[in-house]
Amino acid sequence: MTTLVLPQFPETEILVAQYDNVKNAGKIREELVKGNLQFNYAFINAETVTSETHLNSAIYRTLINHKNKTMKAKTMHSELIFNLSPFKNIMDALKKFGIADECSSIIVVRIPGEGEAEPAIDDLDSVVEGDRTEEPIGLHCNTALVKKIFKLNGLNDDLDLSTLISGSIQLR
Amino acid sequence: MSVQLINKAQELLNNIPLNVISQGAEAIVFETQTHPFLPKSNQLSTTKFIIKYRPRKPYRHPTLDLQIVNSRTQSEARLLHKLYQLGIKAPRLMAVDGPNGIIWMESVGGTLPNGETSSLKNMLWFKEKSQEERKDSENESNIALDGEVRDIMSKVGAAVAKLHLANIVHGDLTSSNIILDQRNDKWEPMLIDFGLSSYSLLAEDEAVDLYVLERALISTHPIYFKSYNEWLLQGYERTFKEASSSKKFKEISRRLQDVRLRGRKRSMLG
Repeated sequence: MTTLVLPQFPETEILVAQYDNVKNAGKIREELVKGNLQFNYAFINAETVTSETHLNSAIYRTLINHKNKTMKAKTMHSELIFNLSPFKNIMDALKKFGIADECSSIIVVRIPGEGEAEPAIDDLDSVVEGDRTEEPIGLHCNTALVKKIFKLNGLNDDLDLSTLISGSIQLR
Repeated sequence: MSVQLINKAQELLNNIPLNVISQGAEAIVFETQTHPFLPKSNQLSTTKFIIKYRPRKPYRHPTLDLQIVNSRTQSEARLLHKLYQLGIKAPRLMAVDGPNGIIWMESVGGTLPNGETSSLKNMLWFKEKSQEERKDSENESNIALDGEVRDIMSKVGAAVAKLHLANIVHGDLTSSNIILDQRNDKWEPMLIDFGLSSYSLLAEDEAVDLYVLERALISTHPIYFKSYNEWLLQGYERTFKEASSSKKFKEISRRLQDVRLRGRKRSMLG
């Protein structure tokens, strides 16, 4: 688990945690659909996140869009999942990049809104049935899948995947 | 005026230490050591980043102004990303804040032995000055026209050709918009400042790009421009030939002759 503070947003303490062997992905998704406030996090399918650069780039994009009032989604958490993806449609992004019933590795991010309490890891641990890990982000990434989703297959192999993805995230 | 703009930039980029390195009519360029979103531990402490800030213009209608700033920022950023995808050497895009006119990119180039920024202009000036100051100049080859300069100029030509082969025109090619990056003891040119770039399928636009660079070389390096330009065009031609686009090269070079006679602006008569 890490607490991330981006230089331009010193007041926003963002929680980033990873879980392996998650058993209740389906349940989490159901609660998310219901709008249960205990599940007020971005639950991300770890298969689709290439690196810390990919994740942080999307977090940065989300905070900038929030500040500029140019968010496409209703909440910061769905905006984050939307920004992780190359899609124009939020539902497509949630389906591919958000938690799915068969997910066993997930990345969880909490961006507190104004006036909201700072996130506590214990609350999250009680919600996710799985093992919290400190592995580097991107370990569970399915590179072939991500390349396909971002349509990067025709490009030169020397190019850095994270740079390509981060760039297209910044340009959305 | 300038101080106000810098304060405005600092307000938008709160918490980011900014050093002004250049200011133009359209944008101010800053340097910083803070990455917009990656933690410090991931980088070398000497890593630097460039922030290009297009301020709002108070004399334009606010709605129009916002649209202009946003679209110019976005299109420059999109171009940088495209160049990376194409493998053309240019600064990598790191972050964009369109409505506020901010682009973050990688810092390129370093310093020359005399402490100046490693732009093509400074490099050539440095070489020319070394030649001038040399006393025992008889029998020895000219430093300003040595193999290294020849290699650099031909690589510059190749870099411009790569850009043109992708149907992109730079729009403001000068010897200070070409930065030299040191890689394994060799200087590799990188193009910067794509603020005036656009896509174009017309040989005319490419020819104008070459012409603008030629004029810039003539005025900044009046003694040696002839050789510089010749080597540059050799590198340019070779790259087109290697890409089997000789036909396009011929068209551009024919156009370049025309442009040299009439200047950059095509007459609008008839």
